[in-house]
Amino acid sequence: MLPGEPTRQAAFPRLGRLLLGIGVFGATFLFVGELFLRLVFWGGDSFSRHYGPIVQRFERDFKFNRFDGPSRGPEPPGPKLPDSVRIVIQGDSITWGQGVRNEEQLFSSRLLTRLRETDMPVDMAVLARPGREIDEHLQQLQKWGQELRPDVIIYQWYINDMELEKQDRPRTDRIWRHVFFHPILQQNSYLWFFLDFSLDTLLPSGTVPYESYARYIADNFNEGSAGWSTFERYFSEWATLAKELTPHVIVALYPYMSLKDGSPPAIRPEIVDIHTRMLSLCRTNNVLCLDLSASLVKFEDARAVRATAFDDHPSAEVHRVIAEELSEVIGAGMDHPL
Amino acid sequence: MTEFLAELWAFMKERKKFWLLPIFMVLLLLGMLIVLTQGSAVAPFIYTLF
Repeated sequence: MLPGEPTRQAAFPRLGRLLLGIGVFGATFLFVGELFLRLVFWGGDSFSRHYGPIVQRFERDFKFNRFDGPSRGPEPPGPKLPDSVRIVIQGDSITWGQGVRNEEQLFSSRLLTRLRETDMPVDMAVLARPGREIDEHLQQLQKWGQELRPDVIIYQWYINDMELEKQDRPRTDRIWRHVFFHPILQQNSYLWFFLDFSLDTLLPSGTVPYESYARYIADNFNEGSAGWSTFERYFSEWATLAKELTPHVIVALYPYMSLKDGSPPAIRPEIVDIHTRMLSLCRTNNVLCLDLSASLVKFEDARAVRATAFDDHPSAEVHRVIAEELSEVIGAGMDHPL
Repeated sequence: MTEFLAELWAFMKERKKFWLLPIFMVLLLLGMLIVLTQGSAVAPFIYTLF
């Protein structure tokens, strides 16, 4: 027997047991974590992003209309009838209904129902898709405007509609996103998706050059900036085309709000100036601007405004409020020119 | 809470049920993350692609 041999013999089983223990620990951790989240998010949930298995589960039963997108919301049953009013709604993820499971709860569907209750012969086409900006809204109107021949055009605006160039947009760079299996797991694993979301939300990032998204928007789209001027140009082009199609054009401004649990929603001070400029831009282009801020700050708790606990998109209740506001404007506008 | 964790550890040590450790740890971790991340979406409505 060579000196030291018994020690090696004793050490190997101990090392083997340790490795086995780590393996069993890791496998149990991953299996239980995945199982736990699949039970917690049994019906899926909406997160502030548009990918991942939990979100796909949530949106599994969504129905899409025939417009580009896939777009979500009512569509006309057939050719336009001579005595009917046709409403075209353009928008992004808000109109699309991110976080709202039931299509009947979208503001577009609610608006259609409300108007039909007043015996108005009306149909509707919704051209909405998450992430759509003003240039795409213009393209959509160019593509569908003549075919649809709308009597009313509603454009739901949100601050990111101005972001035609996105290279300066604040984004985090997380180390775990560089591993080769990240895209696969993020699309298929509840555990990986949720850990990615949670850690990205909770961990500070030194790579984001702006303290907030609102600050970035305020800095990059101030008056006279290239970003704002480009947006103005596209908006004017869109408004001109919309006015050629119908005199009834409404821009519904959805505000960027600070949503803190237990407190009323508050309009982000950084974007007040942008809202003021949007109202002025609407006046310049002779379109009606409906600022939804006043209605939305009336909510007592921000939780009622949020679509889900993990998604700041408007809730079904907020969709109801938007539909009410639009219904009043359209009801008044059909008697008198808007 | 500390007392509960200590008792849990003592139980696992006594009964040699260390396989329970990863189960408790992952449940605790995910429970905490669910609570902490609720209502704290980092950037609102930002999408690059559908």
